[in-house]
Amino acid sequence: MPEENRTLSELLGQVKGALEKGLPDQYWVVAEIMELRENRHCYLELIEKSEENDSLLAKVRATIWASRYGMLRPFFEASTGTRLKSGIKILCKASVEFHAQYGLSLNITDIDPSYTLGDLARKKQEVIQRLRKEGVFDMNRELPFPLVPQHIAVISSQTAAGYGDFMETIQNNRHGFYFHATLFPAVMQGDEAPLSITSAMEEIYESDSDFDCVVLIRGGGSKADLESFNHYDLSYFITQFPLPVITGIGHERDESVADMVAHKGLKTPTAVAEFLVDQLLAFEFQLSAMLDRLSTSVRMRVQGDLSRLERYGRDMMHLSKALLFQQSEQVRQTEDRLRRELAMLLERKGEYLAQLKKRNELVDPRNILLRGYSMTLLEGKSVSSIKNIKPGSLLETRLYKGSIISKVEHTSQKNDKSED
Amino acid sequence: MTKAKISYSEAVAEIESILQKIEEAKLDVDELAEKVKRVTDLLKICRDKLHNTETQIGEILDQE
Repeated sequence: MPEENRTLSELLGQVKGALEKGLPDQYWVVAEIMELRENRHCYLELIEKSEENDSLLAKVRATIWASRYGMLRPFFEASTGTRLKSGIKILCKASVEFHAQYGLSLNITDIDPSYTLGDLARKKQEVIQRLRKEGVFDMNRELPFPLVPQHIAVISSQTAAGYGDFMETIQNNRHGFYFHATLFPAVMQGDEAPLSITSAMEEIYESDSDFDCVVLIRGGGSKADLESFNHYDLSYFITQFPLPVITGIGHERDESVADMVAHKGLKTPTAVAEFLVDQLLAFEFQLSAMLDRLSTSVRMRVQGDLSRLERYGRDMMHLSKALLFQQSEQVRQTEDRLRRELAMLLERKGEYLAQLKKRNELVDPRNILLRGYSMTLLEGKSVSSIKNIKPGSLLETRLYKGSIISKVEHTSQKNDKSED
Repeated sequence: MTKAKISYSEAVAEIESILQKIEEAKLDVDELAEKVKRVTDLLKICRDKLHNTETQIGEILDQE
């Protein structure tokens, strides 16, 4: 073998030496996790993508040894609310290692969660901005909330403590309100959560039951994984859902995007249950208020009617008195008139009688006799001519007082003076 | 909800409109009695539904 030739191990040994000389320290490096595998140690694939077109600019293997990982992992999760997982950007302190058999890798000794936090916040802001730009951000919140949310579709993991709390609170509410809750099970943490939740929502949408609202609850799980609720697809799905969505996903720090776009974002499953109970209580108050209004208005109405009736009664009395007076007056007047007319009639009749009497008196023969006239009778019949009178006839001359019987000597025709 | 029965909001709307008529004295006495009964019936229906003291048959049918 010529002297200028080297073995691969010699060359790689030189690479290792050059690296250790050229990059002797630990360096803070920004990278995105592409893949992550863990046993006690954590094995990662770190990458950098172009900001313009997402093309791959760099890729390297990395390791966090168990001694460091046991400390770093809980700290990272508590600080960021997310696990170390694919898609997350991290700022890590690493030394460059080179192994002749395994090649280049980074040995991570520290991670600064604040970088990831900032990155996640930026991503969350991007999701919010996108939803706003699309004009859908407020769509679920603008749905009218049902007057009485009594039929509830619950999306949760059946085994979650939060689900139990929720059911307990609505079913044993102290007002005795009835709730009908149907569980649509979904995975509430991990990368599959967004898809699992949207599937459950689709199931609700397609179900024949009429639900008043959807409740999305999670509780008792790890504090990490809240990142799922900032997921664009899930948040978008909530905005487009035709029923009001109420979240109770147990966030303690910031609201998730799901909380923000939901009709109501509450902190815990129990808070959601209490909210629902309060809605029914408010409705029951409304019913009582309407009953009060009814009895008040009816009482006022009846009182109004009564006083009107009383007034009618008084008016009626006045009216009938007046009428009575008027009528008795009329009777009295008629009576007077009758009396007057009767009197006049009587008077007229009296006069008439007097006249008759007078006239009678005038024609009474006795009155004529009284004035010196006399009456001649032949055989009891009055005589007004000499016919039937013969000499020797006995005539009776009747005077006013007494009568004379005489014998006829002769008769003469008394017609005119020439005969005398 | 559902069933051929009256919904909460329908009941509330009907009660409101009757209350308004009573308050504005737009009903004669016979109508008044009838409407008062209607309102109390509607209130009872709502209360029963809230506490599910109505027969549960509707509910069972509802689930099928």
